Amino acid sequence: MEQGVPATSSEIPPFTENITIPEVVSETVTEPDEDWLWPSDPDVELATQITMAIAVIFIVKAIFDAWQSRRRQRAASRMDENAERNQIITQRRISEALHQSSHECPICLANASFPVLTDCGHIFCCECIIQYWQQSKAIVTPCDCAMCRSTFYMLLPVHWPTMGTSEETDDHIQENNIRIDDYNRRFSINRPVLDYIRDIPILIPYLIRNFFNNDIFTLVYQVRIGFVFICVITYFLLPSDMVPESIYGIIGFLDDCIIGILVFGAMFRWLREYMADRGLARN
Amino acid sequence: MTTPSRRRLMRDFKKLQEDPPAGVSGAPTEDNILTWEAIIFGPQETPFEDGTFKLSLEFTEEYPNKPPTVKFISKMFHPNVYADGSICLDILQNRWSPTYDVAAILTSIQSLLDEPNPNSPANSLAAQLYQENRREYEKRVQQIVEQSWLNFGENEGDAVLKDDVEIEEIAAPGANDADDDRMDEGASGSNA
Repeated sequence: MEQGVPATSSEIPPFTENITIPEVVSETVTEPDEDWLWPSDPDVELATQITMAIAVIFIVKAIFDAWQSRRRQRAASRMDENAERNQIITQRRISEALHQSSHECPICLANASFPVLTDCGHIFCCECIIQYWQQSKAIVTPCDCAMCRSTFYMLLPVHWPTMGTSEETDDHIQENNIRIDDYNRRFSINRPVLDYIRDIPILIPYLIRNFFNNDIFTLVYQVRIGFVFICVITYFLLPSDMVPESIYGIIGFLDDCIIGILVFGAMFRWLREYMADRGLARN
Repeated sequence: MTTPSRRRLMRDFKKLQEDPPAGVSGAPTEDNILTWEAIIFGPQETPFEDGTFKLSLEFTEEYPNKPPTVKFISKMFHPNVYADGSICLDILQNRWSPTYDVAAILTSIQSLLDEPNPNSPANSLAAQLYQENRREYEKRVQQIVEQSWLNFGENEGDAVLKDDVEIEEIAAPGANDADDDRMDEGASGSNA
């Protein structure tokens, strides 16, 4: 009599639970998939995938940069503070150097003839700094700045006389061009990506001020840079591009920014390689 | 024939004449601009005070890309000065920069007098006394200060140095600033 009652009560609950759960699970899984992950329009689907791919690339790069910056911070936390301070000082020095019309070379203590600007922002005579490099370092080693002892990898001409003034001046211009092209070709390319980012503060003002100087940039190069610049502006302004803003708003604008960063990065790399390759064309 | 190093030395000399640093003076010899003679006055309120130390600077055609060879001609007792007068100073060796001119070199040596680096001794006795027996060290320094006066007397026959000797004798009773002014005038006079 007593055993019969428990057997009956235990049988009922299992049946009830089995019936209820499957229905609820199946309903929640099916509908959200259709609405969010599988849009019906094939064009919208393609655009979404492209945007997501670009975003993933950007995020991966950001994570890598963050990891690398953390690694550097651990290695030298104080160096980081000093680096920030030095960067501000360097930018100010570069700005001042490009504004002045004449400079004194700290090596020969006279007005700099054919002044060249290093990527740490100091200005020397082309002949003085090249001689210093040749006498103080092996040819395969980049030179340390005579003013601040930081290694510089780039020499940029600043306020040089114009070709065509006189035969003697033209000879000097060509001679000094060979010198800085030799240095730039040896050390200005094949460098870590982060160094390119570090060079942006110096390359932007230099490019702005000297873009129309035909002695530094040939017409072909001007056309090339101008064309790229116009393309970037057009891409930003167009409402319908690879990922149009009219449909995706913020994501579309983000896509434009990413494209812009990549193109400007390539532009600076071209500038550096151009400065280095002029020597090859001359030789 | 003027070379970049000689042009640079002429600018150094002009700059040294127009804006002389306190307590140092120098000039090239009459026959060779690559050889200079300089005088450093011991910094005030230091054991070297009142000393007038003579140095020679030998430049090469590679100047300013290479540092000159600087030696004390006057007797010197200092942890970083060798027995032959050579100076152990980083900016004259691996830390050289072509932006240093003669005035900067002399000023650095002058400041080295009272700020020696005993960790890289060129004169082990001086370095040891400097760290362990400062009183004896200062006594030895005082001796070479007095000898620096005598050295000028010993060269009394030299026409170039004669003016310096006379000025030194006249200036002895005067103040330190007067010493500097008269010595500079003397240097200018002899060079004119």
